[in-house]
Amino acid sequence: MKKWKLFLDLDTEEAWLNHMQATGYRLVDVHLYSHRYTFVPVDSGESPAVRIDFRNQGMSKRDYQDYRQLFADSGWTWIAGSRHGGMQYFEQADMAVAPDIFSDQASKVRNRQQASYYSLFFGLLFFAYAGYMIYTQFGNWSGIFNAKSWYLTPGLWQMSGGAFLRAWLFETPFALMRIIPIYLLFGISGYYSMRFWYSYRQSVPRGH
Amino acid sequence: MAKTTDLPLTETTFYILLVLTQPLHGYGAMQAIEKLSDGRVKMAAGTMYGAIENLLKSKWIKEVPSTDKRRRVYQITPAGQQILTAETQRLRQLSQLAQQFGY
Repeated sequence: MKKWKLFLDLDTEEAWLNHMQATGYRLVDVHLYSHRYTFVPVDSGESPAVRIDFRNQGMSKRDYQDYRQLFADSGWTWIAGSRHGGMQYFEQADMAVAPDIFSDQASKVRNRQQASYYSLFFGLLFFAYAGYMIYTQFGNWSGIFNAKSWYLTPGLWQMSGGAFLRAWLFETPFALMRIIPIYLLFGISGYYSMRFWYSYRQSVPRGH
Repeated sequence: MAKTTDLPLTETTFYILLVLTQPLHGYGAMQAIEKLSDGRVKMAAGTMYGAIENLLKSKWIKEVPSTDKRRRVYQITPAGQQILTAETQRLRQLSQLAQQFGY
């Protein structure tokens, strides 16, 4: 079974994965870019925990081997992740070990904080990239709301009748190709910014 | 010399520095800590990996050569030994103080 789902913080994602684990499924793969989770049904009363670790920097092949080996040694099977950083999914292989990859609150909070700053970085990066594209394509901010400015054919808007329709139909795909990536970049930037905000809020200890 | 902001150490950092007076890999350190603490301190993999990263950054431990191709092996550095000495002194003073108060 494949499911696509977007989450705004790692703890909610973990809770959902563990709910799936408890209802007779096992997570076997996560596609990191498309957020596709692959589950297989099982006949088992056990529900091994799934935990997400976050790596805020890339690792050499040897470092990544060592990292995964430490988890394997302590009873956690690596499911998905990239050595270039980001989320790392592990499943509890040994039901006798504690069902968490963090043994104290401080180390978990530090890990989640790193994840939230990573999201902030991507939020700002995609925002800057979108801004740069607007600047180079339109020269000003209002260009993204002004549909007429997406078309480059000289005198297009002075044409009429069949000539206008032909020219307009011809150029519309090109206009969309100029504008859609910008909206997409803003969307991605918005997603990461929300991720930052949600996970940052969660990583700050409440109360005193 | 230990900076005042370095102390006190968390219990897990103290245990890691203590067991890494011998060269050990991450899981070896986790097992050694569990044994030394009579099963009371059980570190999890994510916590251990983060702690090793931080200790390497502070240069209190360093990687040492080993024959194990799959696991990195670490040992305490002279800077780490200084921290461990300073922290032990602090704890000893506290313990002596408590003793004077009949505890």
